[in-house]
Amino acid sequence: MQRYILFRLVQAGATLLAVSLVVFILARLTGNPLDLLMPIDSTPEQYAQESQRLGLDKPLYVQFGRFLVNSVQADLGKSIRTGRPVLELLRQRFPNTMKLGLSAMALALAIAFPLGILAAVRRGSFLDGAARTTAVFGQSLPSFWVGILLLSVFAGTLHLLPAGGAGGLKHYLLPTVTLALTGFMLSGVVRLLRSSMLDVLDSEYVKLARAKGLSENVVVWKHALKNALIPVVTFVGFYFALLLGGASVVVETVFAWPGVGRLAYEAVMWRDYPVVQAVVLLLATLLVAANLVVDILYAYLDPRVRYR
Amino acid sequence: MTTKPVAQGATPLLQVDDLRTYFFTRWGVVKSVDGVSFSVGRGEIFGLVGESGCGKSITCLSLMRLVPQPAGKIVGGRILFEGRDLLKLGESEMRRYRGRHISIILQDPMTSLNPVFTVGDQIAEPVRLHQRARGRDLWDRAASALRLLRIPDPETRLGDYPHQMSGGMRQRVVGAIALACEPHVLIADEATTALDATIQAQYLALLQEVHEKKGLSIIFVTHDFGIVAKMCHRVAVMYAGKIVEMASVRELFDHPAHPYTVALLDAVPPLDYRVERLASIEGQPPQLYKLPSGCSFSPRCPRSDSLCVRESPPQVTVDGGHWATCWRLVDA
Amino acid sequence: MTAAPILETTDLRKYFPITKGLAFSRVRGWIKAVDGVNFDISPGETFSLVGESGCGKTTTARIILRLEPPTSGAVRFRGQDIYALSGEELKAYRSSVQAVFQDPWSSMNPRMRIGPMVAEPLKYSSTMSPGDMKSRVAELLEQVGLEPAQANLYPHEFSGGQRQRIAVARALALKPSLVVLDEPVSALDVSIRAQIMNLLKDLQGQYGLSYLLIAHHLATVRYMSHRIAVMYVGKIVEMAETEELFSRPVHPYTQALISAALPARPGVERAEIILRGTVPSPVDLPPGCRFHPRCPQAHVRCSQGEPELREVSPGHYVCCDHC
Repeated sequence: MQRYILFRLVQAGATLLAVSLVVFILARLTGNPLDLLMPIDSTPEQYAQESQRLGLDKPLYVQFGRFLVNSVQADLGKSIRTGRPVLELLRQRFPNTMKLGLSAMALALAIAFPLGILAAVRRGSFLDGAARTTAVFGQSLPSFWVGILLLSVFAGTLHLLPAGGAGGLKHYLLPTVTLALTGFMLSGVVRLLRSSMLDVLDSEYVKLARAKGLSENVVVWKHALKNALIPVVTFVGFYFALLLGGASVVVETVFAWPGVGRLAYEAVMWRDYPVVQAVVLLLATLLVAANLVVDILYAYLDPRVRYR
Repeated sequence: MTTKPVAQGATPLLQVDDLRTYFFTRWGVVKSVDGVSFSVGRGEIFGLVGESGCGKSITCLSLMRLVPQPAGKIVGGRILFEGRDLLKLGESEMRRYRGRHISIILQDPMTSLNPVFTVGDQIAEPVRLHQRARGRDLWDRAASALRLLRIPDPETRLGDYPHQMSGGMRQRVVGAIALACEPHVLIADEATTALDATIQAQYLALLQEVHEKKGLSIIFVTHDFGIVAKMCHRVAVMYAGKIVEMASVRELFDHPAHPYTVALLDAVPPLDYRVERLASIEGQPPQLYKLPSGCSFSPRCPRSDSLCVRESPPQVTVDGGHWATCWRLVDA
Repeated sequence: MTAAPILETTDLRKYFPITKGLAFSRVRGWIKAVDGVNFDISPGETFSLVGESGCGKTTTARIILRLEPPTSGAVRFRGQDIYALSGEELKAYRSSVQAVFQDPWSSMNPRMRIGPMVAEPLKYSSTMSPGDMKSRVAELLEQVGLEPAQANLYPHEFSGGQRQRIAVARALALKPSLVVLDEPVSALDVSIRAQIMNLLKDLQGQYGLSYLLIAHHLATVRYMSHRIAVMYVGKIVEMAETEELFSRPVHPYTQALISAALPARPGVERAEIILRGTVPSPVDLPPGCRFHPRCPQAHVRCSQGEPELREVSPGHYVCCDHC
């Protein structure tokens, strides 16, 4: 197991290295940030001076090398736009994203688990149909649209909830609901859990569990669920990382949520290379970490993996 | 050792009357079990033989009231266990019979154990449930169930997961689960079909031993006449949802009366002597949602005539406990 | 049988490596799936490999079908090493040796009609006109007891037994001389098994086919075969003509296997030989004779030297030094 984890860590490092290279190059393909930063009447001399100050005049490989060396020392550079250290920005913003992501995931799973399981147990019932419809709706509604709709109803018309920003519990409500209901966290888990539960409920060992005289509750919640969760865990772990990265950019922007998603959005708008790089690197790290956690959970759920 | 006659008591342990289990599918009503009656005495080994889709497995699941839901439904009949009709029990009362009075061993040892629980957990489960055993006592009983099935080093094996065992060992674990609460009736649904020959022989010998030691009644559900010949006292042959012939094993092999039984016995290659050419039954078993009129076997039967095609055959007594449902019985 | 064998294996071995480690794997041991197998098949003969799961019979068949190269040893078809063939010779080998497997369903494209499916081998190996091909398919379907009109149906419209007939038709399309039958009837219903076995026997009589039958069911093997080899963990332990093998089994494993087989009728008395334990893993083979830990007649010396196949009477070979 230790060898395995070590191997996975090496693999993760390689992945991150590759990701940072790709991001580094892609960010620079979008154009020069000085075009946006410098006052319109700047002279070429001022331009060159600023370029030198930020190290943008060096060859790309030197810039990349410096970026790598600094990153390893936890120095992610300074924002080109504001001049504040990137690490500080992340430290400030990331907890917000994490909190929003966790609360959205908790809400999505709290709905998805019972819904997926009951849909499978009562296959073909009204509830099953409702669950499947919910799933299709959830994944086909764009989150920015749902977000704006919720905003205009609850913040605009009804004046019940704040329109944006972070603060008390009230601020969490709308972005959490938006993030939980749209995309694939809710719908994916409902569908995946339903189908894997159906497979498991059809299995011989469930038949045998019933033949022991166990009640249907024990059969479903003990014998079937643990097996049915195996594919679901993979999905949740992976999608949570995606949620923090992708979905949060849109939702945080709509709700003016001070998280890394909005930070990324702003940084891209300003071609703020160090910040874009850092955010993407952070999200890539999250994704890799999520995969690692999933694999370890897997070993917990499935003894066949544990003993290999 | 095999076919020693069993005294039939006044009331059989298990009596099935006119059992009907239908499946309501989009192709129509599938009469998987269509008026099946038989009884199993105390300490008797009863065989239920037939080809796939004849309804033998659904008959067994019906006995435990575990017919696949929601398509399948027991629509009629009685299942008397020690005089009580199981079909009249509430679901929670029925659960007290499963695993405690009636147990089952399923066909495939590779899939009938839950991969994420230890063998010990899975054996202990019915014991905790039905006998309220806890702690050390529970574990001892689980270990002794493994010992009954002659699994070496049972205390250590309790902690193993199913994937750490061979197929033959897993099937013994399934047997240990079934026998852990000392049931009265054991249903072995193709229980040895997936095992290798020498492992099957070990397993059958084990069941024989438990049968003798505990006075257990066993229902062998199988497609293999060899198991019937080796293990059973009485046997029923099923075709297309109905029992077509019932007899003591010796009688069935010596004087088969139904043309299907005769043909099936002749279609099995023997091991102990040489045959030049096997007789084969032409055609295919019918599909249960579009059964032919009259006798279901008539399209494949060498003896069928217009009467067989038109009318359902009557149940004809051949001799004592030997009967067959046929218009044109084979003269014994 | 005096004719030159159509197929011959010499000291066939197939070892699968067991690797450990994720990035840079090391070979930790070998699964000796087939461990020195010698036999030959005569024209028109049914030769059977019988044994329990893991005995290497299926791997042997796969080597012969060129699906799995052997670790060492050779397979000669009409005197030529089949793993040295290439080009036209290889093509000719592929059409002369065909196979029928246990589960015909898994080797059928569910969206392909039966006609084109049976015609498929013809397309790759000959230059037949579409008309000729159609009549050849009709002929093949009739040979296996199906209606030529059924060529327009899809696989799911057939029962298991009929699908196996289709598999046989497809195997016969190129007029092979050897057909490998890998558990051809074990997935079928009892009443259908006899149909297929009789069909295979009839086709053999008609076309002088040779069969290599892989099976675990002794009675099936007895009914179908001329000669039988009993395998145990990668090795042939006994080989003889069918009647000889069943009337005078010599190896203790063969005897146990026969005694374990279920009787055809009640009251058939068999010597009760219940073997102890389970089949050893082909990774950690016991020293000496690989059967000795389970052998009821085991001798002290059995754990020392590994026995060789020796002829005990004409055509009857046994791999045991003490029986």
